[in-house]
Amino acid sequence: MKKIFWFLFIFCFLFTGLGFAQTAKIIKLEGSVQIKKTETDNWQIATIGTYLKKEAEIKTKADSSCTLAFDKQLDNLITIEQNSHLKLEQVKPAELFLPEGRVFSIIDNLADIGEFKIKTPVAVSGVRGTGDSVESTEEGTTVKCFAGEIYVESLLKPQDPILGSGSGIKVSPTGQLGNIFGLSEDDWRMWNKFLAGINSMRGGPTPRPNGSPGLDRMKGERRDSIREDFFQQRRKDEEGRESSGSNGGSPNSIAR
Amino acid sequence: MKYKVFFWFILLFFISSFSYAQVEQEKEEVKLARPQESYQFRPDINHRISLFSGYDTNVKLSNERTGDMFEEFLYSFDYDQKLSADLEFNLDYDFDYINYNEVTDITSLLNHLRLGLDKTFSLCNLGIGYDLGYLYYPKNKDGDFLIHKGFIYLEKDLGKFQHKLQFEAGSKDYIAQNTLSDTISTRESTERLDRRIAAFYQIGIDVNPRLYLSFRTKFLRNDSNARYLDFYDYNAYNQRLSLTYQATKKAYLLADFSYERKEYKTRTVTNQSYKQEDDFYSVRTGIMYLLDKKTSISLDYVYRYNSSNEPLDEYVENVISCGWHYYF
Repeated sequence: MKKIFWFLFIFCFLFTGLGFAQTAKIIKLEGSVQIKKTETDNWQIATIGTYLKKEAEIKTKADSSCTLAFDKQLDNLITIEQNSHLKLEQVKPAELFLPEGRVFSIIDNLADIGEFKIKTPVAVSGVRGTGDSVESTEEGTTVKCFAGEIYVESLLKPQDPILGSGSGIKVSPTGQLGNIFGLSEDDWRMWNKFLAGINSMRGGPTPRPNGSPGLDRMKGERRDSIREDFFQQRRKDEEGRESSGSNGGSPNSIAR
Repeated sequence: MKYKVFFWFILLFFISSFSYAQVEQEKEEVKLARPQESYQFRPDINHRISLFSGYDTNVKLSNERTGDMFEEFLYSFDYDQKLSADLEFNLDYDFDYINYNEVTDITSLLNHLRLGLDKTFSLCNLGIGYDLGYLYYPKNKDGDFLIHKGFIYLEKDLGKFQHKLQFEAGSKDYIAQNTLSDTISTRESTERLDRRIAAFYQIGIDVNPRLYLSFRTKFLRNDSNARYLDFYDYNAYNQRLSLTYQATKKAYLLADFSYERKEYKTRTVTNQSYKQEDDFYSVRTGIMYLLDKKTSISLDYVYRYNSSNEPLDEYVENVISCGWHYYF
């Protein structure tokens, strides 16, 4: 019976929330942001702490933004800027669809999410552990690389250049890739503003004043050994008193 | 035989999950016509130094209630290294020195090392590891011990919920103390050795962005080579509830509530014929304040009460301490 119980317990453990394992979390909001959790849901006001699964959509109005985290350590983050619409086609590996608007992303641990791609109507950009921005408008898609390397794939023409840090490229509505250009001061200012916001969220030390759980257990072992040593001595004294002819039984002992 | 079948089932289960994930990945590669390139994994290294000072009302954990001041120094080193996209190596080392001003016998140095490997599968994470601790009493060599154990766990992150199932097996080796023989006053020529097995299940919940709760239930069995009444053989059942609450941007409130039921296998109450049973309660509360990204201070209070049918083992302890912590 016990073996069946453990088998079922492990089985349930493995399969519990299978569909819930892959989520992105809203960690920061500014202004007016709406979300749609599934394709059939209605638009609702976004709240911090909401977990979004695949097929979820986010819309931001003017002077608004939304930051999503793809992991607990805040290594992989994106910020959806104002007047944008984004769909999470997949969460892990991350595949985002940006029909309009702008997204800044920083991917410091690509291994954790496997892959990170942002698709627009005319292009796909994929990161290799880096920071970038992707902007999609009626005039095409603009991809800018601020750190590391990204590749840009035109959906309509078979070209896929790689952008290094400090460069950008524009893809026309017909899928034509433009020339690679250098980033302007304005671009870097916007990127630094995004980075400052990310760094403030990544914050400082986690509250664990007494050390790791393993150390806590070791300290418990230390307390146990102190208690046992002193108890053993007292018991030895008590038994010694009893065996030398004291009254039988400790007066305060309790039968349970 | 049944255990072997169960083991092979779990192994096949993980292999099939892993294979499924690999096939899906290959399909994606064909679609993109872009080769996967290796990614440089940076290790994550963290150090921490903490200084504590406090007062303990019952350092001997007995009904005598001897109080004493203490100072404590803690150094912690954490090293996490991704070996591949889904495999991570962890190393934690802690050095802890606690000094009691009057009851100097229990001043001690603790070295603790934990090594682990964590592999991500599509269904969950599987981890294995080894934990080693060495406790040294500079003024009481009889108390020194070495504790080591292997562990294996399954862990699953469901976004708002995280849960973990862990099995442990190990031993506590009293390297300077011989085990009890046929009476409490006589000793064997061999060292005392306690064998341990344990299992626990833990669930954590992000209730909201400020509040995190976790609950753990644990079973532990201790089997000692002490002969007299199998003196240190017991089963223990432990439940613990913890919470962390971010009160302000820089201040965190921490609380732990724990209950443990300990049933000794054959040890009887002193001069009685019935077995010893203990109910142990522990409450810890504290506040941690972040002075800046690298420095924080803390204030901690712990209340412990062991309710036992053995009067000699009943005790109450209160510990208050303040700490300073530096991360780099």
